[in-house]
Amino acid sequence: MARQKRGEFLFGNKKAQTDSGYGDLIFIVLNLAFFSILFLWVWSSSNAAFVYEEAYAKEIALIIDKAEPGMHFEIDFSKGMEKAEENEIDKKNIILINEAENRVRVKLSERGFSFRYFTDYNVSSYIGTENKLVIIINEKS
Amino acid sequence: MKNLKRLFLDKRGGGRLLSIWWFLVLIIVGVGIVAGVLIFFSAETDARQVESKILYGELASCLTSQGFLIEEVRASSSLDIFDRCSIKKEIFETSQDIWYFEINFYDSGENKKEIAKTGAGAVRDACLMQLEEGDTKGIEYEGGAKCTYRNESVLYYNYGDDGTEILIGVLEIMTASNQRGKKTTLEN
Repeated sequence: MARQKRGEFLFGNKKAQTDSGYGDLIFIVLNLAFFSILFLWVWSSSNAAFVYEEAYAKEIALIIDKAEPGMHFEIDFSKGMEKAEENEIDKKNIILINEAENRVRVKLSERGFSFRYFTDYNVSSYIGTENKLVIIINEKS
Repeated sequence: MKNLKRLFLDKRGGGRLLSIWWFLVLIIVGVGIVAGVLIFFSAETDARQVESKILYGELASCLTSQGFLIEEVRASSSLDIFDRCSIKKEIFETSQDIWYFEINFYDSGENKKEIAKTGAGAVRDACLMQLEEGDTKGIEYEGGAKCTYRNESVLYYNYGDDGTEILIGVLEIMTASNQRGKKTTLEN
């Protein structure tokens, strides 16, 4: 019995490799498939609606907290609209400002995200032209 | 064609790449990236520190005007801070573990007047504990709230028998926020 050299067990005996030569091809295809799946997963995760829901809800609530009566704000909401359209969310349900609970809810997917503000103003909002979210702050009557 | 044939049919070293080690490398890389992405996206976008600073700013600006303390603050014993600063009282009363604020005024003789205090005592104690350790910028306590603490020198009028004089006092404000927001369901 021929004596096996150290390392041949793990790295393989080159003489015993496939003769067809398709090993490299299979190797490349498997690697491409692996890294493509990984890349697609990372890409879809970074574009997930929940990331935008949380960011928009907090941004809107903090704007309301910092605002003074008579102010109005315009926020670029194009990414939010894109996600809402992808998930077929009704336009009127995307942003809900509940003045009784002082809560802003942003819904770009089946779920949504809510964040509270502490100021006592009349707050109204609508999505205007060019996907701008308009927030209007008024003194409570 | 010959080169292409050599590329795919050259057997030298090819088998080595398909070894168990290469699959181990792929698994380590894959698990590492997946874990990194999951940790990154599960981390909350933290707005607590910003919120406590905004609350501090709102309170400080509504109690002072051009460096002077608003007269009502000293004179009145029943100042409605919520009404004065356009802050909703009900949500502070029902959500004591979310927000906290405390306002004190020290006159030139260092006599303390408590102007307002609302929120959970646990948040206050933790903020004070952190204060004793000397961190006055971004204070975080075990429960997760982030606090803002500032002492501001303010001018105020003192109406005495000899007439009116302008004195310097200190407005002490401590605010905290522990709001993380929540995911909502289909119903709410």
